[in-house]
Amino acid sequence: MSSIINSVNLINWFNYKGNKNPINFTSGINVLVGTNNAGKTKLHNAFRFIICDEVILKIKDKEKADYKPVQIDKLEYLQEVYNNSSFRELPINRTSHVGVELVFQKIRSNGSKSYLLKKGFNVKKNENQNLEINNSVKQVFEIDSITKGSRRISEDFEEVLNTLLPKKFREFFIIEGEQMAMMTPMYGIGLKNTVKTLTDIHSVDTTVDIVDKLQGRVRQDKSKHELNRKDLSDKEREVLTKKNQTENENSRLRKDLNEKHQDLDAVNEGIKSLEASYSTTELRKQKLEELKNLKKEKEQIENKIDDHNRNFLDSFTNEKDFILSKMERYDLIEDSFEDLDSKFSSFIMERRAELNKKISKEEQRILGALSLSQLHPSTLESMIKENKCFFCNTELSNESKDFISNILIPHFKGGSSENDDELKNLQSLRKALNRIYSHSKKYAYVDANVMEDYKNTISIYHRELFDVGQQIKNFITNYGDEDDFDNDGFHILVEFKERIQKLTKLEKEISDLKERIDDYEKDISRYNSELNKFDPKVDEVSQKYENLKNFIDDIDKVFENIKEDIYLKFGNDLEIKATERFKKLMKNNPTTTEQKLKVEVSKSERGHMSDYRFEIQLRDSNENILSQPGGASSTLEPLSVVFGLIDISEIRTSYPFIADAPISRLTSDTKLSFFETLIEDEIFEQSIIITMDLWDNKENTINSLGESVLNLLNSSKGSSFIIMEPISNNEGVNFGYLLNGG
Amino acid sequence: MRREVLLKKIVEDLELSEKYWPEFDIDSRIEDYKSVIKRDGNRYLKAVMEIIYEEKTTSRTLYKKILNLFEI
Repeated sequence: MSSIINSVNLINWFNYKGNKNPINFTSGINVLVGTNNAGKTKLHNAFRFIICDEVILKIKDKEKADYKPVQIDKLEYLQEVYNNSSFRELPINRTSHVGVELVFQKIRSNGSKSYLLKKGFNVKKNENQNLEINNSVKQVFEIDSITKGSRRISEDFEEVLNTLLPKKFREFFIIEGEQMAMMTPMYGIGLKNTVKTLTDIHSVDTTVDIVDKLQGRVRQDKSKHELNRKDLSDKEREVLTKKNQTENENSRLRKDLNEKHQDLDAVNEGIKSLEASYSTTELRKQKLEELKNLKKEKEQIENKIDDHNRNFLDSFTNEKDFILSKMERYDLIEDSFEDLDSKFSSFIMERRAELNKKISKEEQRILGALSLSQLHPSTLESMIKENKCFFCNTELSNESKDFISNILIPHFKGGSSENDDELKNLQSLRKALNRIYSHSKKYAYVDANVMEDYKNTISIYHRELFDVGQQIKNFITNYGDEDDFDNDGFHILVEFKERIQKLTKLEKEISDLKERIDDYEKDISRYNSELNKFDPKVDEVSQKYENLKNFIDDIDKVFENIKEDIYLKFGNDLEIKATERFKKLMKNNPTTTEQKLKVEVSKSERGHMSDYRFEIQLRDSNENILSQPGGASSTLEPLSVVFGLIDISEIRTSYPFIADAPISRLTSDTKLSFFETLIEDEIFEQSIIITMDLWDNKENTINSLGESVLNLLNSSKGSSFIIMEPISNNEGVNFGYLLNGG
Repeated sequence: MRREVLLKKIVEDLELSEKYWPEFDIDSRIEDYKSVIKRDGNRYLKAVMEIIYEEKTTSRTLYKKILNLFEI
């Protein structure tokens, strides 16, 4: 048997505007991912509302705001739930609706039945612009398997809801990440209650309790009968009366003793929980310090970046360091210098040609043109030597050789024309320009280094800033921000002191009670000895009572032994199942191979009855305790225990497992194995997992873990992978199905 | 612990069976002794069955049934 949620429709529910916001689910794993404010938690709240009759809202209490489960029939909460865009558009006194509709299918071996559940409120906006509740709505419809039409039926909403998910299982099947570490306490009454909810082990307690009460009643009635006998002597009657009174008093004391033991257990558990809270507080104090240090480090890096930028900008306006080339691109300056130098060079050559009187106008023109090439005299001499023009690669004529020897070489060597003032001016100007150029070049290299240094340093700083930013982000995701830390363990210590005082008082009371019971037991035994001295007067009814009393005493002993066997075996089974679950969930973490969830079973005597308690701790192969509040696996330990209990309980019906952010507090190596476990699991036929851990906010797409999960789901029958994208202005949510039914 | 398992454990307990239901045929293959006990009529076994299948710890009806079984 199983129950499967086919769809939900959200009506004016937070950012789901209007009355048509259907989301369809398949029978396997349904993963819903999306960025912040995509409506994920609001969807989870919709399940909570229709199934558990509560939603989790951020409630301001004094100065602190905390997430708390609330019922939304309170207007201030309903106002928060009702889509604000719809509210703005809602005309005064017009009726509207806010709520959730859920379609589910109950599958049995002999067929299936589908139901539509509607739950919400008919509301209106009053003249003061406030929301008013007209009436609440809770309706059940049956869906025809052929026509798919729905017909309202008179079945009780809660009863039908119980077939979807029984009330006692809801806290384990509808969970959110934060609660996973608190799914069940790992010791004491809390753990025993979880065991009672998920298994039928407590039936043996009920039976033993019945037997215990029967013992008391048979004893009482037997005494009453004996006292009423007419054949008793006065002395005999007196002793019997005293014995009877003592037994009654003793029975009352035993009852008191049992109650005191229960109080003692509660106080002991309270102390244990305070110790855990204190160590959590201490741990969180250290964590808070860690977060503060990270934030300080971030601030320091930001300051270093500011200083570095300021120094760099200062260097532009600081006279000493002022460098022209910083203001311009150096290559433009270099081009300008080369251009000027080349112009000066040709002016010099042109002037030399002018000064050389031996050459004709035509030769002067040739010289002018060659000046641009800035020929070296040695090149020209090599040309004559090799009898070859290096420009056109042809043999030189005698005429050309004469021209080169007599005109060009002397011209390029300078010589007689060096006394010319204009030429000298041109040459010194060129020299000055070259000096400026080489200085500028030197500075330019320095500038390049300065720029390079600036770039390198700033990129290191930015990398550091990014790293520390990531660390802060991860820290906040895992442990919360500063506001979430309770850094005052003082009140815990005060409460701790009060409970220790209460414990001491209770222990004294218990010891006194035990002494009194011992005294009464002695008295009873004394009365019995006294009564034995009288002639035995046994009637038929007394004999029957005696017979029944002996039988009940005998079966009580056997039941006690069976109870002990059952609890010890159960502890052993739970250890195996919970450890199996834990290892599956942590399978990508190699350190867990030698670890186990050790289940300790302890017995305490309570008057006639015995009581068994469990304590579960994560231990290594040397039995060293590894469990610690806030530890890496602390989220998965209770989950493993609950899953282990479900395995043991042989629950024959598969119910949908609905979880919001179940992997947010898990280490990265266990996130994927969480999905692998769900896929391999036969108990959780349908899961609806709402998470942002598979989403890359920067790239606005699924991240690498999301890809891995999608690949896993691709090979898993009936699975879906749904992307949630919010529409701006609270206008709704778009759903993209990357996978729809595998 | 399922009730039929609890009943089986009591029925098959050696000391109890020798003392209170020596004539009763114990067959370890039987998973649920309920119907066999109903047919057999041993009052001790019937009392055990009534106790195991009782839901309330303070049932007057159960006590009366037990007294009846023991003819008190």
